[in-house]
Amino acid sequence: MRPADLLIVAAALALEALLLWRLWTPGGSAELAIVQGPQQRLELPLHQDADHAIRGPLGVSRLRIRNGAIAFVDSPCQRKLCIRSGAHARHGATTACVPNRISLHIAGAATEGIDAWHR
Amino acid sequence: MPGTAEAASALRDARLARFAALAAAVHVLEAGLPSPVPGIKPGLANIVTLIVLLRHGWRAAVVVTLLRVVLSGLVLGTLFAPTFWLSLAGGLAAVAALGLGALGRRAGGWLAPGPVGLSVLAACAHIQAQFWLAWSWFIPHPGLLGLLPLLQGAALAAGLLTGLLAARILEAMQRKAAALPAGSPGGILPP
Repeated sequence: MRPADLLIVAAALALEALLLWRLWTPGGSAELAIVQGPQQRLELPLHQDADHAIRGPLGVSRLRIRNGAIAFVDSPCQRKLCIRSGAHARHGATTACVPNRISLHIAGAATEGIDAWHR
Repeated sequence: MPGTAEAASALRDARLARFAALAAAVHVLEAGLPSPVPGIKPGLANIVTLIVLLRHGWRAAVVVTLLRVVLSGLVLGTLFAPTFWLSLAGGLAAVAALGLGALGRRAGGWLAPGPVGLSVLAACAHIQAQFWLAWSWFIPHPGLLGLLPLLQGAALAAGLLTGLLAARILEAMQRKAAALPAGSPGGILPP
């Protein structure tokens, strides 16, 4: 291989490393957790460890941010599926506490819009 | 003599048509291979593009790429379907990257990439163009971004593989050309 070949392969490896860091590291590209309740909307930065609460029709749901990931830790629903869904850090991850009408979505810059279309 | 020029032009066209047919055949065969993740393919048709670039120049590589995309679209029944546009975008990005590589070869010295560097450059440009077109046009969902590191890694591996294969084939072609009598039709092989 020539020097230019090595340079190109090194640049491709650097791009791969950058993509892994930005897209596969928890909190890498995910900047905000958007928590939507019936009366309130929270936009929570994932890089700050914190505890948050949001009110729904059944009561208060609690969420916890640790190490760039957010999880429901308490909710007044019956089956606790939102808590069992675990922590979410990936860009685009979505979960909800349906009985308490609280949804959680991980978004980054300019990620809103339609999911997909086909024809 | 006009007759000689016409004959040379016809010979060149026929040669490019043969390369395009070969590239399209490889493309179609590869489309039948199972893939663990959509979009991950070895890209063996790029070997043909690379050989055309190194032996007959960048313009010939562009012609072969465009013909390959259209021909394989016709054969696979995907002409003007989303996969056709993805294939076209990838092919155009790859030949644009190969154009940069060809400029580097013209400059010579340490800037001149060999088949492996050119192949990696083309494979990365190909997958990036396809991905961003798919993401912006067909599936604008942030979840798709999670696939990008996988696709880029696969493109790097495929680029290395096809580059090494192209280098071996070019060496064999050079040996064969050297064995031919002087004046036989051959290609340009800068450094």
